[in-house]
Amino acid sequence: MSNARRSSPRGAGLYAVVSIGLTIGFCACLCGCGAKSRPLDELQYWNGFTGPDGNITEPLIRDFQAASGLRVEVQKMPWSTYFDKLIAAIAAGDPPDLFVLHFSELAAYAEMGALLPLDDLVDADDSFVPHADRIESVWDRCMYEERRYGVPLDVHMLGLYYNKDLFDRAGLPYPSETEPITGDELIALAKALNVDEDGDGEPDIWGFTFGGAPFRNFSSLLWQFGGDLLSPGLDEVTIDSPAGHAALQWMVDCVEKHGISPQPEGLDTWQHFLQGRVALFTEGCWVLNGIKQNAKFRWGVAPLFVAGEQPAVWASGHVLCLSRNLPEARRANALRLMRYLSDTGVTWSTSGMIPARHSQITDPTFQADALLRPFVAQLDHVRFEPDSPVGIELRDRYEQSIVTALTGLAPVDVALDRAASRMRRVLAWWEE
Amino acid sequence: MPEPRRRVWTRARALNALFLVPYLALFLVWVIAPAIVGLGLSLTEWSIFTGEMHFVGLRNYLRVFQDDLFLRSLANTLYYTALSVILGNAFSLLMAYGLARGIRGKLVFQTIFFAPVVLSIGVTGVVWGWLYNGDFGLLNYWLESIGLPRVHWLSNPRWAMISVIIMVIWAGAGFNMMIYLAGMLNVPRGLYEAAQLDGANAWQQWIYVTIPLMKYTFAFTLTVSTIGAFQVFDQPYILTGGGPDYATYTLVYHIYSNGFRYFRIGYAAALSYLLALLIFGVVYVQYRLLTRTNVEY
Repeated sequence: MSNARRSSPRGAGLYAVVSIGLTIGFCACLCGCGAKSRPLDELQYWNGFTGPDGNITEPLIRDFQAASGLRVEVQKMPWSTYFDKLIAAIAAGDPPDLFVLHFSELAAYAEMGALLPLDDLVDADDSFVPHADRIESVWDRCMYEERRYGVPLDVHMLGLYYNKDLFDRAGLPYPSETEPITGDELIALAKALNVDEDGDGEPDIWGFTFGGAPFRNFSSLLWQFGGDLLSPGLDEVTIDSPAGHAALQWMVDCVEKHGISPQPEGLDTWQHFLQGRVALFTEGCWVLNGIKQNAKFRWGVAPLFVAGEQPAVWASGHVLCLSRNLPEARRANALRLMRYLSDTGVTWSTSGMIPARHSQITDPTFQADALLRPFVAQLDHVRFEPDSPVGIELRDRYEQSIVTALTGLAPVDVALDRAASRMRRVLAWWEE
Repeated sequence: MPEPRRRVWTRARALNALFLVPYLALFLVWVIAPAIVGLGLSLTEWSIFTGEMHFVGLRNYLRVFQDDLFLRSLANTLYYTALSVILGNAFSLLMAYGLARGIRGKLVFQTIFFAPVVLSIGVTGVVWGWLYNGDFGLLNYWLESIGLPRVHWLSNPRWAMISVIIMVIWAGAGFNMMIYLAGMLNVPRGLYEAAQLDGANAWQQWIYVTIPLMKYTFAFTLTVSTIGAFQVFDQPYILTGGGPDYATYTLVYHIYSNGFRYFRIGYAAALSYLLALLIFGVVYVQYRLLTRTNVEY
């Protein structure tokens, strides 16, 4: 049979039409894949609680399900990937019913129109969470341009962790659990705790290290020395003020002048502390459970030291939010879950977080946890990062410069000038 | 006058076309449509959450000249691309050459060299993060054991990008090695025998026989490596977070930050198009240079 006989223009045309039709159908199918809707009694709660805090979430949600008859699907993702997925879900019009942000992210999300204002739903109704029960400074941090965009789940801040065994070996008294030590006292303690076992001139056990992200330590010190990152109107960069210089110089001196702290590098601090190679280190209250589970020595925690003229400690918090794109019919159940999570702040505090409500702070069960006391003692001195919509970008810019000073790659003046100029560029762009 | 050739649709041809449907659909949905939408977005300021859009013309493209981090990330990307492509391919070629010589246990070595390719970048990043650890990493332990000072691999801007490149070469060299190996084994043995009869030594055989006949293999591996290198993101994201002091901050990292961290979708789209143009330009020149002359034996 020849090709000419087998070919048929009509048949070929039909195949072409079928091909194109299938292509379009396939595309339409792909585009429509995400458009399914969930039943109203099935909630999605997204968060980044993948550590020990995630273990506390599970029983809480189980209890909520049993009491409410609603089903809750909890999606826990590492914070590093969480925001990419959250942004995509909100933008696609299929947001989770309830999700968690940090205080520092709230302004950007609110400014971009991602969040549902909650004034009428939460603030207008005193029975949701009585106003008198709210820790005002913490609840206010969930506002942006005088509108409420979230309900705080907790507040968390830095503390000073110490290895009791190393203190005992050096014959030193433990720091108070409610009164912060001064910067000079910290330096004296750390020098006494430095141990050079092999005599090579470099401590094998360091007296002190700055733990976690450098911006938390730096901003705490900046506030202690009376400075701030931005002017009160959030329109001028003030990081390179004399207070900024004093704060960064104090940090650099711990490394270079006093020799009590190694240069920062990645996650070393955490590992060093758990290995008994660091006597004192700064970190947030969220690591309490991690240390409880992993430390093979006796340890304690104290309020953050005060190196400047006034006590101040970096703090943030988890905030429960609803998306503006959440269908109205779903809001009632989402608010129900939100309220439940706020009401169970004492249970949540076992994850190492401080509740955002007075009644929970004074609750006997909460107060029985001695390890949380140093953090509660700092509540009057907590400071939050500026609630600027470009706060995250500003932080990214200055933190890189802080690290160069701490690693000895740039003098304090140069590092701060660079940080300030980068931040000013961000602000100028934003103001455009 | 000859009758003009008519394209005849046969049942077989139509069936072939039908097989293309899934690919075309995916290509349309995941490549063409986003590319067109992206081009449009690059001319706007778009709020990803509200859908609000303002046309800004070429402003996003012009803004790169005021963006110091764009220039920094561009310089980092070019540095990374040059080093990783040249060193990575040299390393792959060396490994392929060793295996092509018919060493004992060839299959075992092949498997060992290729194994890192199948690891996820997350795993590779964590492992190398530990190896590079300034205080208790294995690399510094070895350096100290031979009397050399420790290196702050990831916290020193001078070393950070080199550390990323070393990890990338280790993780990816096995892939190009397999392609080079296939290319080398494809060179007819007779040509080497003829070259030997003409008195060519091993080096001359390599220069005058192997390399010219592997021209298209080189063109493929270098092109693919270059495209991949320009798009580097995951490795510095996991290993260094773009630091220290933006030393490992690449163009794709900058696009990601602007798009998904700072919500400047229009600007991120413009950066993406500039990157695509850059890749196209470099790869076009590279491919033309590599395939300029035809080799016939």
